[in-house]
Amino acid sequence: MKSSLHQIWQRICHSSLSPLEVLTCLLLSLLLGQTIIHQASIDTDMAVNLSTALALLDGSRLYLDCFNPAWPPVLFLILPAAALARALHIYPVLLLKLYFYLLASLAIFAVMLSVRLRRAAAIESCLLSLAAPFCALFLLLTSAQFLGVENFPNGGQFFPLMVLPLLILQAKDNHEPEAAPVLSGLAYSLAAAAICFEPSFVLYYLLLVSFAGRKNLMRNCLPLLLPAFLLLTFALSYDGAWQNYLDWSVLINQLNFLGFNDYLYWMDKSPDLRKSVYGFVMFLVLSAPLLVRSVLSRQLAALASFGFAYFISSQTLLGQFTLPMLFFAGLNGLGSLVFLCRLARLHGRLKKLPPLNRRLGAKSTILVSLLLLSISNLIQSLSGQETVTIDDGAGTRAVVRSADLSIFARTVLNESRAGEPLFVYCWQARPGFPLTAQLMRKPSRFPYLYPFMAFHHGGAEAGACGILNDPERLPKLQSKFYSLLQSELSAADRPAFIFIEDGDIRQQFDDRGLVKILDSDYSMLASLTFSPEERKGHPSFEYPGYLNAFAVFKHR
Amino acid sequence: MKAAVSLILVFVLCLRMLVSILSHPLRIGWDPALHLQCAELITKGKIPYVDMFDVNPPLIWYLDTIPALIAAALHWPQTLTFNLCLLVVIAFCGLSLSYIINKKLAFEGQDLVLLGILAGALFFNFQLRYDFGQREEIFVLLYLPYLFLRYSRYRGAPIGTREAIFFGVAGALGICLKHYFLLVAVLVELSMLLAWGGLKKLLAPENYAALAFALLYLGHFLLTPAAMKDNYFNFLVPAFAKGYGFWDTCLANSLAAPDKRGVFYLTSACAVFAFMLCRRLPIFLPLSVFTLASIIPYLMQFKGWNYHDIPVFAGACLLAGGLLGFLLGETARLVKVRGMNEYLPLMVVVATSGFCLMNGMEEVASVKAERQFDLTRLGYKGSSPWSDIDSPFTDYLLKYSRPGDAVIFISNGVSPGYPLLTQFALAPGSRHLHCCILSVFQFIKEAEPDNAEARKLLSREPEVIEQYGIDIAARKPVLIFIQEAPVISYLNPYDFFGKYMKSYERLGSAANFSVYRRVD
Repeated sequence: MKSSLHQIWQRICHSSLSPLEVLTCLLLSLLLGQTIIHQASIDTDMAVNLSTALALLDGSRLYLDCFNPAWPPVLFLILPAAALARALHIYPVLLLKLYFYLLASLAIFAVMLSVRLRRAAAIESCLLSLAAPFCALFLLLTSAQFLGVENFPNGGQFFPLMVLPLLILQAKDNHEPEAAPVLSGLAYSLAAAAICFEPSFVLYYLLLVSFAGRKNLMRNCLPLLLPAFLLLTFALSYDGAWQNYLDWSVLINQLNFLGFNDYLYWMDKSPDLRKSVYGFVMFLVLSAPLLVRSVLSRQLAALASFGFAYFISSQTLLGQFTLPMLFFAGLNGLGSLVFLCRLARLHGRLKKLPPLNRRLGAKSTILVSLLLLSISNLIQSLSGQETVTIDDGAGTRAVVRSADLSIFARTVLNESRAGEPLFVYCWQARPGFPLTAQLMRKPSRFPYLYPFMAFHHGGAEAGACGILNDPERLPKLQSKFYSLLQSELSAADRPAFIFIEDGDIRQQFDDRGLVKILDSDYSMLASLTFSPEERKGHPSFEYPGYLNAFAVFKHR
Repeated sequence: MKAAVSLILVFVLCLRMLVSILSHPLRIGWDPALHLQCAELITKGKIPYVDMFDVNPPLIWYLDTIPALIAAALHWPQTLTFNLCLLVVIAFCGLSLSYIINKKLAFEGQDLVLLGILAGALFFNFQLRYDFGQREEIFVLLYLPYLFLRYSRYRGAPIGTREAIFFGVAGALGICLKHYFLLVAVLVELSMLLAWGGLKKLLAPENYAALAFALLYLGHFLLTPAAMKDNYFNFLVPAFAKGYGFWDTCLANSLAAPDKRGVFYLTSACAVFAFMLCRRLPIFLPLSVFTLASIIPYLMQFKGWNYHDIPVFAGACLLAGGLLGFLLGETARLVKVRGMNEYLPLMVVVATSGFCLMNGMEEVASVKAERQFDLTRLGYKGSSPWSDIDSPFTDYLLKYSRPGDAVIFISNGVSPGYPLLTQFALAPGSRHLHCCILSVFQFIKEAEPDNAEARKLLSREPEVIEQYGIDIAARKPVLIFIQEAPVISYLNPYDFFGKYMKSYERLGSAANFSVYRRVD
């Protein structure tokens, strides 16, 4: 084992990298630096999933003791990271991010190897040579932790990255050498993991493999086995698991899709991401020269177009959902620019520019990357940003930058003790998450009240579509929903802090007597809002709908 | 593709459309009715932006003077005449595409695909209903032949100078209807230029003709009356540039709302397949770009109004038609029946004709079964389905007004004043055909910084109110409908009711409008 590792290390050190591969390594090292420095910064939905994963480790049963609109495969995907964090008492948010960083690095490494394997025609080499650095740059920019954006890691970011190696390998001609089994296996494994993020990625994946036609049909179906296996595992985990999944995840998501959220009809009620759509279209226009010449380019354009449908299906149209379409269209468009530059060069305009074909040693690249990592971390740590210590009350501590903590963090930290549960009753994940995960607090069994809007709408559209054949199903679920909330608010181990969103949610809580339960042991501490002063100094986040205030109740 | 087959398809679909138009003589959308009104006023010597106020650029009004004049000459309902003229434009589009496909693109040998695209280009018009006649639709109909001609040019087809100029001017006519359309045309051109190269192909007679027309149109403003120029460029355009955001929505409502997302799903699905096939079927490249690029103006306008995405829908129909044609062709190839390739286009057209016949008969039967409005009340022959004129205001208009009477709708939208005024042959009781400008002022007050430019624009608000008053006094409209929220709040600070409504009694309320009748 030791000698084979040594042999691998020797091979790496003696290999050489192209300038673009070197750039990729440097970008990855920057990303690692950012991940370590901004350890508390995490994507909201992934923070919710992390909390759910930790609850599963505590013995909770999914969709019975703890609820999440996500499907089981993504939770099982991150379970190892959550378990490792728990076991080693490492800050879970950081470990999860490092886990995904590793996945991303593997994906990009697989892209680099796939590209090396392809002896592509000049046209496709424009795209292929850009693939790895583009992936790294895409990840760095869309994470933008250094810009105070909470966007890493998320499914929209990772799916295109993780399926790209397979796409590149699939597009090769018959006269090109077969991929080594290790590379093939890696590509398929990454694709399998990518599908696990969301059910809609199954369709996305099927589109991707349809490009290969009947070639490798059996092998291309293999990645689908992973989410299928994880779903089966979940279905067998306890009695009624499958029905609970259908009720609390599938049905609610369908209802939310069919019964469009009233809050989103008005001006400014969802993030204005028109520039992302413009960018998507412009990149596709720019990729015109490659579209008529390169099969890979056409595949990327098709995947980008599907990404647009994925974006619309998200309902809330948040930034992370634009990422697949931007990734595929962007790679295509930039590849096309390279193609045009090469054409211009051939025709004499840029002849004097030296070609970028000088290779550099891998050892030097590794050393430079490590140096860059150290320097970037040193610079960041010298910037004198305020830090705060987070403690889960069970032996896990972390020192994080205050500026990375989500809104309302100061209030929670000042008014409660380490490890005390924190319930945020809000129909969206924000602002309860990533705050709850960042502060390592136990959330409500409903990390956010995602079924609320489905109940509010009533399911008329679903009934019309035949999805909700049993008219009693939704009222039963609604009744169970509120009784679960009631039971957790009446429980002995109630949280120190409860946030309840004003507006329809507060109204429902009042009508159903849930606020009354708090009268005996809680006092209303404050009304917290999303005012500019509150948000100042915290990461920006996208928030569809009305920016209602929160009534904050503190346990006496 | 046999030319006859495509011509039969165009004929059949236009005939089907004719049945629909003749079955609904009074059916028209609000914006087309408004533009028709402006056109009618122009034919009577009125000056745009002086004698009638609307912010839209005047090209559509100039075009609409054709149906307005024909209607006046033949004493036909304006709505019917407009729809028939639009049918002529649809036929022009169909025939032009048929001509270009058969004469310029025959070498591509994709009969069924091109037939499908042609069918798509005509089919989308059937889905528009109340948006039939919007500028977006006219843009598509006039631009498509130009797009196909440009595609033919890039593919090396020989094109005569006269036909190039003809289609260039037609294309420019469509593009100049709204400035946003230029972006779509530029992106489509750019995609073809990048794909098939050649600056020489860019410098072609049709492009020169298009440019000449555009410059002519822009240049005509220099010859317009000073008051028209002043009101348009120094008042309406800057006001709406600042205040059009009053009607803005959000991205989720624009793309993901249940009544809107279907178009975008169709677009995505068609684009996926079209891109995959664009090497084999190169026409799919500019069509896909056209469809996707049309999303940009839809989002730039940011109102979420369905008609803004007509070009997207039209493009998706073109792609869907082409893809269906491709699928049919591939199926025929696989099935390997002798002569299938020869006769399949004809079979498709025969099937379409059969469907149109059945569908047309169904429509006629259902119209006959509906309650009818007697057109003799308006001085015309025949009848129109009541549903075409049905509204909360119809009874008031029928009871208290006659054709030619002046009526005002003081509403911050084009509807409901239009199409009702056009349908009932009523004259506008004010130069302000709607009071969108008041909502624009409101938005400027609330959202714009308090600077000299904003103050200068807002200083026109009292003038607008006063103009309403002057017009009421001069034209003595028999009915005035005033929108309760938000319009009454705009009028109250000026004591509008005290000053200008003394000769009116309130009849009641309908759909957020107070109804007033003249009593002297």
